Order: sequence, then structure tokens, then C-alpha cells
Amino acid sequence: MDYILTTNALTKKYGHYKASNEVSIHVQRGDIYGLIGRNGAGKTTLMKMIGGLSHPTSGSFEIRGSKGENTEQMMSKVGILIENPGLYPNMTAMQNLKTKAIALGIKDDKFLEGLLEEVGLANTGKKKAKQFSLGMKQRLGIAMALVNQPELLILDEPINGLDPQGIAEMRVILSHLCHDKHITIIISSHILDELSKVATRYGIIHEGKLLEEESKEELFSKCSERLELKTSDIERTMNILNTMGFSKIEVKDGAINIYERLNEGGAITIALAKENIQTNEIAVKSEALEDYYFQLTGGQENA
Amino acid sequence: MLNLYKMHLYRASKATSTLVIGILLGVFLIMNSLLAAFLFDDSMIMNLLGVTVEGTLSGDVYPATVQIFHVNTSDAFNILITIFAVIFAHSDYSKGFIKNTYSLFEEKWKFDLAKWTSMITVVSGIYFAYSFLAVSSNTLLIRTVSASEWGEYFRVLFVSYLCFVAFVTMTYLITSLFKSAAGGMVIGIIIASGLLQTIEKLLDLLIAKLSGAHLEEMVMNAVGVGSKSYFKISDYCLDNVYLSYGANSSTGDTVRTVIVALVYTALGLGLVMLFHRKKDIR
Repeated sequence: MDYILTTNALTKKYGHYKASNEVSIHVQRGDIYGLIGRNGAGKTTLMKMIGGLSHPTSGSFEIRGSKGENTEQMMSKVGILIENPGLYPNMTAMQNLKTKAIALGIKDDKFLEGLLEEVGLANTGKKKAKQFSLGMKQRLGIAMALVNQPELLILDEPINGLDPQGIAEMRVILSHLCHDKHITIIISSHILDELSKVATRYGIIHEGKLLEEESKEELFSKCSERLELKTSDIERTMNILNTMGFSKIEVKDGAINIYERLNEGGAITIALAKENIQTNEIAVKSEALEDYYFQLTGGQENA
Repeated sequence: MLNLYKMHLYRASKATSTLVIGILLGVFLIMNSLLAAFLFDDSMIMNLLGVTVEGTLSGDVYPATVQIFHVNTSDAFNILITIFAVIFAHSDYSKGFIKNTYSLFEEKWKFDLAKWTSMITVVSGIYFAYSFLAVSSNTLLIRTVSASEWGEYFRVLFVSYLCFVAFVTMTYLITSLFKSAAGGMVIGIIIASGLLQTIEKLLDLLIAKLSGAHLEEMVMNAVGVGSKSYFKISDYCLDNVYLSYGANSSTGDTVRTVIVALVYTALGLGLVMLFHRKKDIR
């Protein structure tokens, strides 16, 4: 696997409280890695450690094969937007970009203009950042994070507070950066529905711990519609389903979950009856991403 | 590090606070010079006024131009510079811009040194521009500086400048320790306005009393004619040596002031670098 970032039991303690508790994530090159978790779950803490803004209490991480000892080399290709865009309100978009560019020794104004164009802020002219809408500020924050031409972009809640149009614009930008610019993105959010539209891999974090890490396909297979079947003999039922050509089947908690041909419940019941297998329950069930998340993190009352 | 230095200079050039401080100091300078020129045409009165304003106990009469130049160590100038230094030191934290640059350096002391150097560059520019304009306007409006006064002028300029750098460095340290502009500003203004001098003078008296001094001796010492000298803590307090240094200061005072300024500068900068070494950005 070509991992651009791996963390190894990354832990951050504030007094006795573990804001991040031995978190080990694996981000492949080209991923849009979605960190899901409610407010205070430890997403920002983890991102700050990876972004070099906070020192881990224990554990380590590797970016592009470099370990934590050489921050300068490691961070040279990491762009971050954590909590807020970090702008000087009395400066224009270009001046804000230029401030960071000077710190990096970049003198190419055309490159900076290109960045503004990429995030849709090319025509802001002399308008100061304090006059920008939240969406514009977030987009400028992304442009700031792109100044050092990162291979890895860390975005903490970039869609938080945006209106639907702003969210849609952000989605387009992220997709463009990942697919056209080949930038790997780690994005956190507690808006699961929105995250599910862009992320290709997920890490579910709760109370500082990483509960699950899985691909979009794996996660969606757990959340998608299924035919839940409970019978008197699971083993024989599985054989019958196999002979009927069902392949996407799993047995979980005493029930058989079938993830294909959901309209064939009647045929299954008849086939089982012919073999004298009693059907105790058969129903189409579905689980939204949100339900799955609540189930994983211990219920809605925690969210 | 050089790039970070340039970045801080760039942001200072675009900051509203730089412009506001410039305008305020300009207004202060013009009012000061014009009032001095129109209200007092007697250099003796000017000197006495200067002595009164500074609250020195020596009663020495300074050459007028040097005293007028000495306005650089006035409360108003220092308070304005304190406000500017605090804003400069804290704005990248308060605006969150620090997150864009902080991780670029493994050794955080480089980050602090670049910021300190750029801050000193900016305030030095203000200091020397202000000094040049002050002496120019006073020469035009009040009287020309005699050739013999220039030596004193440059001595005061240089020593005051070293104290000024130390003072700004301490403001930087206080702002960094408090992690807030308000905290840094309040303490900076208390120091700049000379409020601590009273406490320092009282501590001097306490030390003298504990050393067995009689009241008469303490009074004689205070006016500089005492035969027995006692240790004075105020001689080593930056605010006191800075605000009381002037054209009448002796060579011994000059050497002590320079050493105090250098020690405070090194100490302030060193502590900032030490505290930031393992600091998390919130």
C-alpha cells in the first residue's frame, strides 16, 4: 500500500484527559479520508498533531515516509486548514496569500493568482478578507493551505457553517484538488451526509479513540439496504441461498443478511419451505450512515 | 528564517496598527514641538519643565535640545510603542495566521527570533524616524543645536535605544507568557508609564533601612550627596534605568544602563524561545 500518512498510537493528554487515545490511521495516496466524529471526539486534536501544531504525548506518525524527527522536511508538503482559515482581516485575498508565500520564499505572483482562481476568488480585487462571506473565507483558507503545493491537505470542518451553495462549491473544489491535482485530503466533519458525498475512506473517531477505519465500499455495505432473514436452521439456509446464486451474504447476530436481489424474499421463503426450514422473519432493512455511526458510538444521546 | 523575517515585515507594512501608531506619534510630535515653541521661548523653563515631567530628583538642568530629544523616553511614546509591540507580537496568534507558518520550522526558536528581529526592525524605524523628526522640528522651531551638544545627543540616543530594545523585548516576553494581548498591554503600559518606579524607590528605601541607614542618610542619598551608598534595586530595574537616563547621567550610570539593557534583552528573548520550544498552537 502507498500510504502518504500513517499514525502509530498517537496520543495527546491534557492532564489526565486523553483527547487522542492511541489513534492509528492509514491514509493512502489519493484518498479523501473522512474523519467522522461528534464535536469533542478528538478530530481536531489528531489533525493538529499531524499538522505540526501540537506535540503528541506519545506515539508517532509518518508523512511521505518521513518520521517525526524531521518536521521541516515532513511538513514542507502538508497544507493545513484547522478550525479557522487564519487570515489577516485587513488584507485582501492576494495579500494574505502573499504573506504566506513570502514565508516560504515564493515570489511568483502568477502562481498565487492561479490559486485564487482555483478556489473561485480571482475577482475579489481590493476587497478585504473581513468583508468576505464565511464560504469565501473558507475557500481562501484552502488557497492558503495550497501555497506550499502540498501533497497532503488537512482540512478541519471546512464545511461547518456553510450554506448549501457553499457546501456544494466546497465539494467541487475538493474533488478537483483530489482528482486533478492529485492531492490527498484528510477532511473532518460531523455532518455525515456531506462527508459521505466526497470521502473515499473513513475513520470513525469517538472519545479520542479510533473505532473503525474502512473504505467507502465497506462502510456503505454496512449501511445499505439488506434482506434480513431469520430461520430455524442457518447452516442449511446458507446452502440453499448459495444454490440460488446469492453471493453477497453474511451471518450476523443470528440473522442472515443478504445484500442483493432484495425483491426475491418470496422465492427464498418458498425454497426454504420446500426443504422444511421454518422462516421466522424476513424483511428488507436499511441503515443510514448516521444510524450506523450512532450504533457504533453508543447511541444518539452521545451525538 | 530570513523569509519569516521578511513575512513579518510585509504584514507590518500592511497592518492598520502601524499606520495608526505612525499618525498618533506624528500628531504627538507636532503638538509637542509647537506647544514648546509657542509657549516657552526660554530654554531654562523648558529644561525645568522636562525635569518636572520626568520626575527626577537630581534637579540637574539639561541642555535644552537634549532634553527635548529625550521625549523619546516619555510615557506617551512608550505607551504607544507598547500597544504596537503587543499587537505585533500577538496578531498572528489572535488571527490564527500562526497555523500557516508554525509547522514550517522544526526549531521553534528560529520562529521567535525571526519575529523578534522583525519587530525590533519596525520599532527601531519608528524610534529613529521619530528622533530625527523631533530634533529637526525642535531645531527649526526652538533653537539650533550647538556643536558641543551633538556628542551628548548621540550618547543619549544610543543608550536610550538599547533600553528601548530591551523594553520592547520584555513586552514581547510578557505577551508571550500571558498568551493574550490584553494581559501584555496592561502590564506593558504599567511599566511604560513608570508606575513601577514608585515601588522600586520604596524598595530602595526599605533595603537602605534594613541595612541600618538613618533617615538623614537616606535623604542625602536620594539627592545624590550622601557619603555612604546603599544597594538600590531600582538601579537594575529596566523601567527605572530607561526612564531616568538622560544627558546628565554619569559614565558609571551609562555603563550600568547599557549592561542592564543588554541583560534584559538577552533574558527576555531567551525566555521567549525557551517557553515556545514545546508550545502547542491552540
